[in-house]
Amino acid sequence: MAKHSDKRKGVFINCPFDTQYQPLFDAILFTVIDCGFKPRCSLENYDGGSVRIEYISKLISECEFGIHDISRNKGDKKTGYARFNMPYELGLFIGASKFGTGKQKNKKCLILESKKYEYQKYLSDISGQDTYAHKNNEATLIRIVRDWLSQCNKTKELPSSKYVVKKYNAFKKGLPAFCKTIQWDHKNLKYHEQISAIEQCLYAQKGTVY
Amino acid sequence: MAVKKKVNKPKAPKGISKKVLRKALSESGWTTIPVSSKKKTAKRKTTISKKKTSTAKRKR
Repeated sequence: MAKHSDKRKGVFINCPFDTQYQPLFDAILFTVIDCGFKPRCSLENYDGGSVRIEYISKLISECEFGIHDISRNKGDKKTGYARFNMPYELGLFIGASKFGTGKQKNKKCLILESKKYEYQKYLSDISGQDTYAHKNNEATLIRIVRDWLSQCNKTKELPSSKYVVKKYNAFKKGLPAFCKTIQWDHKNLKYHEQISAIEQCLYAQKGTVY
Repeated sequence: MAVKKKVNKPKAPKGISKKVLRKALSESGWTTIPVSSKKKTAKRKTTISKKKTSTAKRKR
């Protein structure tokens, strides 16, 4: 999926990939693409034969920026277990910046949670690092991600979060009709289909004045 | 002042024709360009001259 001609900087996205989190994941993908970055996550690997952590490590080494949502801290209703993949991948990312060499040293990460300072109850080792609470709200999440990307990349101006939110709302509104015409199930889009729909939407809205 | 941003044209999804994609974009409301709009060529002011027969045909 990675194109060598793509000059956009990669943003590693480490978050839950379940239906409950889907609207927030959509919001992150939309903001990252709208701000001119390339979203990268483990969902882009379709090779069932490859070892998952190998691919994740490769993604982390290739991405200068990382968005990590550690809000999923409660146990699953059916199994009772909480998933530790997100804190584990956050640790890998921070580890790469601490012990890596060269461009690995420049890594920057955004740590998200749903309620402010909740991490102190389950991941207190990251105390002292800035975390941002999205309160499970898409608009809040868009603002946080946009503002952080704006700080990361000082070479170009990014659209204000107000406009990103407007474009995102238009995207959500038009997605069912777009998918219906090209015979995609908008409730069950694959990762590459999601990316394609967002890119088409942003390109179509290019000249729109809000 | 509005932020100028260079946006590269994204590739159409695999297996989706440009016509269908244009229709999908139009129906989604993401673009204001209607489906049927195509680049119209300017109307000819002069009448089209009769097509000349090829030299091979004339020789026959």
